Amino acid sequence: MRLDVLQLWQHAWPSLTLLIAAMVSLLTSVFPSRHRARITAVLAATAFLLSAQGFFHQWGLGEAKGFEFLVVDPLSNYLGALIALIGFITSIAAYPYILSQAEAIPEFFSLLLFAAFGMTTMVMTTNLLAFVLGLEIMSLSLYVLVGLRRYDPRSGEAAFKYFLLGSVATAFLLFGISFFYGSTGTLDLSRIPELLPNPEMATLFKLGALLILLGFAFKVGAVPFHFWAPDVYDGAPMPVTGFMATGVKVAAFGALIRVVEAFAPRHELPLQRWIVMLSFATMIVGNLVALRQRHLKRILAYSSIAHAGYLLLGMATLVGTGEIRAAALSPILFYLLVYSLLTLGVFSVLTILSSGGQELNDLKDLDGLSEKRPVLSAVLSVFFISLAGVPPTAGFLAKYYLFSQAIQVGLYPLAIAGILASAVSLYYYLGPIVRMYFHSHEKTWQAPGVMASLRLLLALMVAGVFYLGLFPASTLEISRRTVPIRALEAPLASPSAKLP
Amino acid sequence: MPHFPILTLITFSPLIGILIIPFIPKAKESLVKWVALISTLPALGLAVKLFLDFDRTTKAIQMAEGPIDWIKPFHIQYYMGIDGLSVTMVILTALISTICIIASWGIEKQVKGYFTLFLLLETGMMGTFLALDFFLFFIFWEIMLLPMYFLIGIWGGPRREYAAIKFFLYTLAGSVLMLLVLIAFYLYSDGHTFNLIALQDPKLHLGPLSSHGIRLACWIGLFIAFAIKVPVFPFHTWLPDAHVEAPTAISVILAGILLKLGTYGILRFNYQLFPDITVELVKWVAVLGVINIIYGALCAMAQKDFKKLIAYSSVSHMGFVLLGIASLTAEGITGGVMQMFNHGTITAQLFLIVGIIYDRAHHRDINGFGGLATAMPKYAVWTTIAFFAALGLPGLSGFISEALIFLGSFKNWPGLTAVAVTSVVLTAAYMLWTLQRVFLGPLNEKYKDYPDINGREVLCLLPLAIIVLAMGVYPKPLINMMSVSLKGINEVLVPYGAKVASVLGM
Amino acid sequence: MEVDFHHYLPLIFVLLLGLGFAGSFLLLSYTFGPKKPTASKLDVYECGVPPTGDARERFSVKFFLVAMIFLLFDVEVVFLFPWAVLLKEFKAAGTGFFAFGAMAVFLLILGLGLLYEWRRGALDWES
Repeated sequence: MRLDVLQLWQHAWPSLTLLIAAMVSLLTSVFPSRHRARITAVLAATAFLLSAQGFFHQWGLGEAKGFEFLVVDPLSNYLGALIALIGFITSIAAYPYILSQAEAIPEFFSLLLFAAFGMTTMVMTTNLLAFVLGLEIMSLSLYVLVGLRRYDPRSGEAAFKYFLLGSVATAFLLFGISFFYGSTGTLDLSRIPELLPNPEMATLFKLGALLILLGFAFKVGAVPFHFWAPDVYDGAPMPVTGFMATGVKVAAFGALIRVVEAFAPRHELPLQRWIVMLSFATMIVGNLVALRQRHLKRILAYSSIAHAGYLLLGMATLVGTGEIRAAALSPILFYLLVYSLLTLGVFSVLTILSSGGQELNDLKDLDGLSEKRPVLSAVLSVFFISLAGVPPTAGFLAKYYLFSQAIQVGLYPLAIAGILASAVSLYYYLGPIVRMYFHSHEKTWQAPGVMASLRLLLALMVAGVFYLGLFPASTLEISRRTVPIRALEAPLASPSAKLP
Repeated sequence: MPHFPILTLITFSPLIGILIIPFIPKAKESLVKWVALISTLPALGLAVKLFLDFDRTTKAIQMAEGPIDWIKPFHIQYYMGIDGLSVTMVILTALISTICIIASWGIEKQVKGYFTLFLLLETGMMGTFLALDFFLFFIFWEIMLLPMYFLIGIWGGPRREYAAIKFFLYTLAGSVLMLLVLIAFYLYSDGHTFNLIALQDPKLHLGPLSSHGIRLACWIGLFIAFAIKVPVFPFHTWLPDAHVEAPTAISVILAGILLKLGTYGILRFNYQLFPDITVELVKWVAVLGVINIIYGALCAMAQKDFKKLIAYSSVSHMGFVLLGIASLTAEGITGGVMQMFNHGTITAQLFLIVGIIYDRAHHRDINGFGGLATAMPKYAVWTTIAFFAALGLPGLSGFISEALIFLGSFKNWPGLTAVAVTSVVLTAAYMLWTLQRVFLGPLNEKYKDYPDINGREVLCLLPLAIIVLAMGVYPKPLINMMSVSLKGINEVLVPYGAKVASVLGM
Repeated sequence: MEVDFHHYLPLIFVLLLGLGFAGSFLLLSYTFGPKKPTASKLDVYECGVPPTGDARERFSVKFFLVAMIFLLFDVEVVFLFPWAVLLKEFKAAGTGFFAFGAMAVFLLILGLGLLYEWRRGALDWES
């Protein structure tokens, strides 16, 4: 279907809201005001909330439409809503932190909105070029966000590393896309089923698919493409780390779902074997290396790598056949939701604790926190325990769902490796808890009190952890009804296009 | 027909305290303690009601609540029920929990946190005994884990961090195995059910779950999960550490209730879900039981630390339970479950007694005491009652269950039983020797002015001592309550080649 | 596939002409020019900057800023040219207003960007 401006707005307004808010919040610097930080923060939070509401509303309509570059289907709306909520929580949690920085940086919120816009673009398309566009909008904003604490050399180092390695990842992706385009004559993934096999191009096509997969593996931090993550997480400002650990994962996995969905029917691709290998390495390395970490953010970086491994396990399940594939998408979506909730929860608390002007760093910094900040410690513990997958919290149910589906399709070794790896993970998630509760405190806590809105938000998030763990039925139903668009009207159909 | 939801109330009534305690000002510590105590009372009252209302003539599940759909997409149900196997454990849990709150009156550090976690622990324990849905059971099982971890880790002794993490990792390893079996049941049971009663029907086990190899693997997985909790040699090493570091009340809970969850699980899961494999492997359970008995007793004898001694005596006594349930006779299994109850009451006393002297002396070195009977005569009497019960003196409850166990197991495992009986001597040896070293001999001058046991401490010990005496003289109410159900468990094993034996015609 | 190389002849001719022109000048100055070599004359020509030195030279960040802004607005012009050329065709096809509007939005965004840069002081050399 051809796309005109009105339709674009009608279907993509939740995403475009973010873009407009991003530009408007940049313009607040044109009219300098003492309240600038507050204005931009409120603007960003409102835009995120509006956008999330819009995505959710569209999800409720249950439509699946494809335009030239744009896909609006339940999958895109689900992930879009998730991204917008991640942005919302980040913008609220980050506000006191941003104020505490040596120079208040109002551009933070604008960049956050730009990055979220890029993320939503990534999940709202099946066109590879649009993926790259979204990816770059997201990445460029994140490079700057990572380097936000520019007086801190570690922040600068992290930004630079992220920039270099992120560029390499994009190069991989573009390289793969060019192979794909060369071998098929299309950039649209949804066109794959109509393309006829073309044995001459088989190798090129395979190479293209592999490189595209690796490009995304880079972004989600899958082993062995994970080396950037610990350094970048460590150096980035706390709220940005949280935003990266969740938003980027959701967007990259959303895009990966589209890629995997498209390539899965092509049986000449050893797609499952590739993903199984990635997943296996990611779960094992992520969890084992995390055991040896002493820095809070590095632990969380490896934790996010490990969780990417679990999600890849879900992806491997997805590359099944027939009805199992439809059932295999829902655990991934549910897991993404739960993972984002928990990781954001951890980072929100850590952001509060870092709002005193000094970044939380070493595990030692948490010593005896339970005596000074009992509520925050309890909240943080809930999130950590749930991340480890202890019932009756959401983290357990999400993992249970993911692993039981994997066993159902016969991925026994992978699922058992995952379960064992996640049992190991409990050890490093307990590390911070041990510090908070079992060690006596040495540090004087300078972190300010918590804003009422943030308190409410944290309370809701903790409630969510237990709600999703104890009464997940309705949320599971949402994730089950979230299916990607299957058949697209071919917008740029060129009859000569062939698939190997 | 909806009836009074007694089991739900008994499980979740401690949570009332959890809702109130956070809002009590930090300074009002005694108010926190009172609220905690009061919120364990409904469960205790309902346990008494259970004791009175329990139908002793049926082996079926009683007072069932559910099954109602809880997490429908996964076929997880809320299903609570009670039978002769769990009813004694529930009563024990209610009683020990209340006693432990009283025993925890001396807690000074982070009072609110302690009692909140304690009440959560009680809910977890109750739920574990009452859940009849595998998934629900697993959730309650895990709910117990974290409060225990924190209770040892925050309020424990000097090496608490090590002990807490060790406890946690051991139990977690078991949980992982249980989780795998749980997933297997979900995927390969007819109708994807977790309903433990329905799953007892072997016709529901489909696909891989009906193959011998997988069933064997599942049985072993479940057994290890529960064996860690019992703890069965060689999975027992967490226990002495956890006991020594845990505060008194938590040691009591640990020995009095948590260990029973292991043997309860073996009876509820291994025996009833995989009766075929149980008959096949039961010999090894008996062997492990005997190893536990002898090894535990020998280790206990070698201890210098009072608390460690009690901990190892627990290992030894839980071996009796294993031997009893492995006997595959009605008497043996009844004796085993009765031993679970009796050990709960006796070992609770023992740990309370250790706690009492530790509160005064701040050490637990057995050889460092001496002649305490002169300074604390009343304390000596209470200790003697508990010790004699533990070593199986006729007239006290320990004797009844041990006698039943030996009676039952001799039928099928005469050789093993003969070895196990020697432990009676060993137990008597370390118990009496300890009594002698602590209470007799010349009084150590340091302890001359120690106050004797006080009213609060008596309040903790008295109900337990009454039960120990009563059950030793007239154990019939207890036996009646469980024998029908346990006989039912044993009968299920018959088609798979078990000899059903009944020495006393039970 | 048959390629008609005749089309490329003028290109080759221009190339040869350029090469010959430059080459002949070099040759002429080499043979007839006076030679009084000094150290600075023998140095490699590098826009007046000494050609050797530490590679890790620090530039003022202002240079980068100017370069980036220049790049942005340069690319903008690249978009403007084809738009300007094709505008009549858009008008003929009846989508002239759309094409105009699209470019107007594009320029508006760029203009806002310029405003932002200006107000944030990116255009001030001295600050």
